Amino acid sequence: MQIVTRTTRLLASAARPGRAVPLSRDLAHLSDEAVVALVARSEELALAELYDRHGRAAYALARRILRDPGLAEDAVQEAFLAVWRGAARFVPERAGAASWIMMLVHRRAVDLVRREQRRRAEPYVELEDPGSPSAEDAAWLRLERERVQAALRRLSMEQRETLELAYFGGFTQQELADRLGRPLGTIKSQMFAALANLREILTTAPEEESWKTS
Amino acid sequence: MEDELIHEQCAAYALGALDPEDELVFETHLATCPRCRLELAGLAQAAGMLAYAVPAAGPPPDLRARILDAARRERPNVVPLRPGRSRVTLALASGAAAAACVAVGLGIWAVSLHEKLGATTAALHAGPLRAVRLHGAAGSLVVARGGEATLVVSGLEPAPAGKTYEAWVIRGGRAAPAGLFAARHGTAIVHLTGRVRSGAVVGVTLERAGGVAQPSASPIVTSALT
Repeated sequence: MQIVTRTTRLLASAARPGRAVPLSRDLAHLSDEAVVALVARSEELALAELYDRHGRAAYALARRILRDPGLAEDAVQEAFLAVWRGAARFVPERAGAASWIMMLVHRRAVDLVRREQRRRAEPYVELEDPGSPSAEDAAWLRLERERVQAALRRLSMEQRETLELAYFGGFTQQELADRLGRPLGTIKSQMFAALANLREILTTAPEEESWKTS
Repeated sequence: MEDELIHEQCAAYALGALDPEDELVFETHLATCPRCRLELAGLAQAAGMLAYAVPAAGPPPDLRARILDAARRERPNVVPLRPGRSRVTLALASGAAAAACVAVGLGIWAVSLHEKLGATTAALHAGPLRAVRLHGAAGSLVVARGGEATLVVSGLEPAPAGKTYEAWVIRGGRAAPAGLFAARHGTAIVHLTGRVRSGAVVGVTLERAGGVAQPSASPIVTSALT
C-alpha cells in the first residue's frame, strides 16, 4: 500500500513541468513481481522500470531469433505491450515475472520469424552490439549468458541441436523431424530429455540466484 | 490414450515448437490437466533460461520511448512520464486492451489461446475462471467471472454445405441459442452469446445454415458446469 502511495506521488511529481529526471530508478528496490503489480495499475513508470530491467535481454533474444534489428524492435514492443495489457492478471506464484516477459518476447519473435520465413537455419553470425544500456545491467546478463551457455555445452550434440533449432530457429517439432530426418516421436523425446537435463544442470549450479536483480 | 499423447507435447510447447493448431489444442488440454501444468512449469522454466544464452545486443535508445508512447495511447488515463510528449509513433495492435478486461484466461501458458480469443497474450489463471472438459469432442468450455464463456472444440468434422453447428446454453430444461460456427479449420473457438451459470449445460447440435431457435436433435457435444 505504501509502495503504491509512493509511486503515485512519484508519478504526480513526474507530471509537473520542469521535472525531467529519470525517476524510474526509484522503483529499483522492488521485485519484478511488485513492479508488474504496479504496471497492472497503469503505472507507466513501472512499465519503464520493467523495460529497463529486461529490455536489453528481450532485444538480444528477439535479435537472435529474427536476425533483423527492425523486426526485433517490433517483437520487443509487442511483448511489452502484452505485459502492459496483461499485468492485471499476472499471479506471481505461478512463474516469475522475468520468465513471463521473456516468454512473451520469444513467442512474438517466433511468430514473426515464421511469418517472414527468414533464413533461420543458417549458422548464426554473432554480432556483438554494444548498444546503449547501463554497464551494470550488462554485467548480470553477461554472467547469466556464461552460465546458460556452459549448461548447454554439457548436453549431447543432438539434444543441444534440437533445443537450439526449436527455440532460436523457431522450427516446429514437425519441421525439425523433417529437417533432421528423425521420427517425430524421437524429436519429442529428445526435446523432453534435453529440457529436463538443462533444468537439472542449471538448478544444481553453485552460483544459482547470483544473477538476479533486486 | 489421448491424454498420454497430449502429455508428450509439454516440452515442445515449452519451447514454442508446436504448430498453431497443436498449440491451441494443447492449451485447452492444459486447462483441465493439473499433471501437464505441473510438468510444464518445470520445463518452461528451463526453456526460458535459453533466452539468456544469446549474444549481447542493445536495443536502440528510442525503443523505450516508443513502447511507453504506445502504452500511453492504449490507456489515456495514464499520467505521462514527461509532460507535453504525446507524439504518436507506431501503430498498435488494435482493440486488444479493451477486450483484456473481460479476457478468458487459462493461465500464463495460454499464449496462443489468448490471441485467438482476441483477449490478450498475457495473464495467469485468475481464480474465478473455470475450464470444463467436453463430452463428445476434444476441447474445453472456459467460463469467466459472471458467466461469460468460450467454447473451444477441436476434431469436429467441418459442417457440411447448408449446415452449421449451433451452440446452446441449456438450463432448467430450456435451450437458448448461443452462437453458430462452421468448424472449418479443425479447432473452433466460439464466444457464447449467453451467460453460463452453475447448473447449466452447454451443448452443440448440427442445424441448417443460419441456425434455428430450438435444437432439432440431441447435442453431439456437451459440457456441464456444476
